[in-house]
Amino acid sequence: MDQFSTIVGLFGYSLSYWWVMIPAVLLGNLVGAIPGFSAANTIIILLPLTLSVDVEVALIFMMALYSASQLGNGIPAILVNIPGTGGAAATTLDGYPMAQKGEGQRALVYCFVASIFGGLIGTMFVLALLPVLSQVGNYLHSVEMVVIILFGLTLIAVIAAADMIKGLLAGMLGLLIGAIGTDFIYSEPRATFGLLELYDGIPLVPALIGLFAISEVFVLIERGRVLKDEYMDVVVSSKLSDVWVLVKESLGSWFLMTWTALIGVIIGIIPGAGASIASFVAYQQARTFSKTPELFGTGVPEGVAAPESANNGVTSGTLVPLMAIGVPGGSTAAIMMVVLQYHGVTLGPRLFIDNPELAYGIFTAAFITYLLMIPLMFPMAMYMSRVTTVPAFFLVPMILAFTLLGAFVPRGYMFDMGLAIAFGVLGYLARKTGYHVTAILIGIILGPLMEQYLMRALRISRGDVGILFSSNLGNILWVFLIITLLLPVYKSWQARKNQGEAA
Amino acid sequence: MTNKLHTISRRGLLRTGAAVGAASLFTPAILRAQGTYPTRNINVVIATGQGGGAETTARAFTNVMRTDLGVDFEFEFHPGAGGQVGYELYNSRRDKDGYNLLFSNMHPEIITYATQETNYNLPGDIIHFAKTGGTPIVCYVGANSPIQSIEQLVEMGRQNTVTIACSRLPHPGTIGMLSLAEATGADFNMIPYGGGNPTSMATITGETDAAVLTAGVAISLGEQVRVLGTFRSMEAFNVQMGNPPLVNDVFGTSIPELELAQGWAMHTEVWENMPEVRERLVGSIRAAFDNPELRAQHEAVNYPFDGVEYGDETVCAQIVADTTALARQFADRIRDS
Repeated sequence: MDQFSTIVGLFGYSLSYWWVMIPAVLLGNLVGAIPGFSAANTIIILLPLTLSVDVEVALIFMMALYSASQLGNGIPAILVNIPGTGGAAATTLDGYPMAQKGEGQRALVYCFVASIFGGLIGTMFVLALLPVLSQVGNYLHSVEMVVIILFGLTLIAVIAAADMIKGLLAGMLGLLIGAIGTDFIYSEPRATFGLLELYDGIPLVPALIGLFAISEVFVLIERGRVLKDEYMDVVVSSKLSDVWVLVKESLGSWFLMTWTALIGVIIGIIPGAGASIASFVAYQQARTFSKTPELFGTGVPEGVAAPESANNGVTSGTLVPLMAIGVPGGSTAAIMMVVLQYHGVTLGPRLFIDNPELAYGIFTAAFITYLLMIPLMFPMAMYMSRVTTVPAFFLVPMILAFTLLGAFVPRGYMFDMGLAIAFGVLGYLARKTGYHVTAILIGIILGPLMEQYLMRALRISRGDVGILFSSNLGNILWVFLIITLLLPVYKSWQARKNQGEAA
Repeated sequence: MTNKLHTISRRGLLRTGAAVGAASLFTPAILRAQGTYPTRNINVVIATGQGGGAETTARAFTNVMRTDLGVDFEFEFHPGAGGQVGYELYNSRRDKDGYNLLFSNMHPEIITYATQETNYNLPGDIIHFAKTGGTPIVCYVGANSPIQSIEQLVEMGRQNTVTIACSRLPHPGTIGMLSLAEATGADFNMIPYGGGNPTSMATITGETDAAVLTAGVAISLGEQVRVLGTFRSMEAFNVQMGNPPLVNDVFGTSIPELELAQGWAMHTEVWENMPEVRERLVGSIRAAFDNPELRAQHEAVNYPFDGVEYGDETVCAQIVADTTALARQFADRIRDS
């Protein structure tokens, strides 16, 4: 009861810091929307600020920034086909087609609703079940992670459905590119061509920027603008009041948003996993259990809601191991840990006894941040969607300037700007020849993770592949994986059978 | 291997204008360092990621040294390939002008140097000149583990394969556990987790039977881990870890004392040809040890001050030589493990 009243009181306490949250939300949206800028490197840049203020202010600022950046990632993914981070790459699959056909505002509203809803559900879930969730890591080991990543990798097959050979080739190319760099076990360089910048593998941000942003620039130059001409009137005539209609409509997908947010929380708890895996898995699952899976990829709002809800669920998930055992679940959580340590806060189970206000306060701060996003974000959806009407003449230089800078920022190598351009050419050629750049990106993101967990599992078993089927939870996940792979086949067979009977 | 492209640092890009950059191209580095050193901020390259132990220690020192030197320090992080990326970049792409230093996690990075093909030479190109401290290598298990002692771990290893999480294979912890396995007949299967956090998680969650890493990491995890044994006895650390036994004492082995030392390094060319830079930096680092603010800096971030001990260039040279020899001796066993 004491704990409950503490948490209730913390909501009010967090709300009193609205003056910290609002600028953090606006900044978080901005850095989340520019590829290469992230919550992690923004917190690093602002270290002098977060170290000089009270720990509560620092914590609330970082949490608000982190939560808002996850939402911001999806905005450029929808409007200009450029995900702010890998976590929003799945959002492009349906978000951008919606924007192209004049539904940019609708896609943005779904993105905002899913992000906020997913964030709120994730935070409440974590607050309610923190002691249980802190044990999740005990059951999700390398074997289980192999299967979870396979859920994401099967998205390649989904994307390949339209043209199997090209889809699989694109996925294979991504996996090959993902294998560049020093190997995980012996630290031996592979396919680095002697280039120091490749020793740590292909950096994700330049690859993301190249495949999506730069290649999109080339396409935009040809096409003139994002929006197809026939939909111009739809966008121009959209009204602010439409937003609230769309909010009501999008809340109809509450069940989808709830369970994809929970996928995000669970995956977020595992150190090293993160928003990329969560959003791809959520998209793949949403498609599998959809009544109209064939429409995914053509611009359905559920294809936006699922990954956005999941990647915001990750936000709370990554903080579970940080607060519960003092081990950060992701890069942003790691930087937050550094700041908290500088303030003399020792993370771990004792924190919940010694300083419950701080331990639970981080989650209530996230909750209040998501609530504050409602008045801040929704009115902007209509104006943001107008970006799709901007002629390429203006849009292209801005995209190029921001994204090339974004390619440079994470590692500070000029090389990465060149790499982004090289990936841009690759992405452009892929688009022109009918290969899907998302399939390439899935390989680049999930390939190294898959290798890492698989090699670790096989090393534990000294090469015995039987280890992949040695855990109860792993086996349950295998069954789910097989079901999700067979379900579309079964549905399609049933549909054909029904059609045959009707005929 | 050739490094084909040149890079500039993010801070460098923002700080220096094109005119200054162009002018500096035509100014020999050695001339720029003349005068009363230092006259501008000093750049610190760290070969691990942001937020790690190297950054924490380096910042504790530079926060003290900046008052003495009258300039600020700027950090850049170049993790990858066990420190090789940071070292290669520092050696080939940072001016040899005394305004670029390297802060090093000495033992793992020297092991990388000894076991990989590199384009730099230690100490021919980069010299470690000031050890700032060392943390013993320890073996620990999760608090819920049934393993209570190092003897029990070894006994289990004699009967079955025991899995040991480590940060990376080229690491003093790996050498310690493989030495112990060799001496006792135990079968230790080393599993690299690519960093301190996942390594600790592996043993806390029971994916591996035990883990081997630094005492600093084990202490920071508090009651969540139980330290079974240490490869170097340091009183202050021992107390905080519940006085674990020295592995050599338990098994009568003669495994080299293993620690993870940290320290400052610079271009050897600067060390040899710029005595003003050398003496000013060594003097400032030395003075930091006598400054109570250094302890305060460590305590402010809950980082153990107990391992802080100064070692001059001779101590560092000995560490480089010993660790290189040890790593080369174990190179095949690491590969075959």
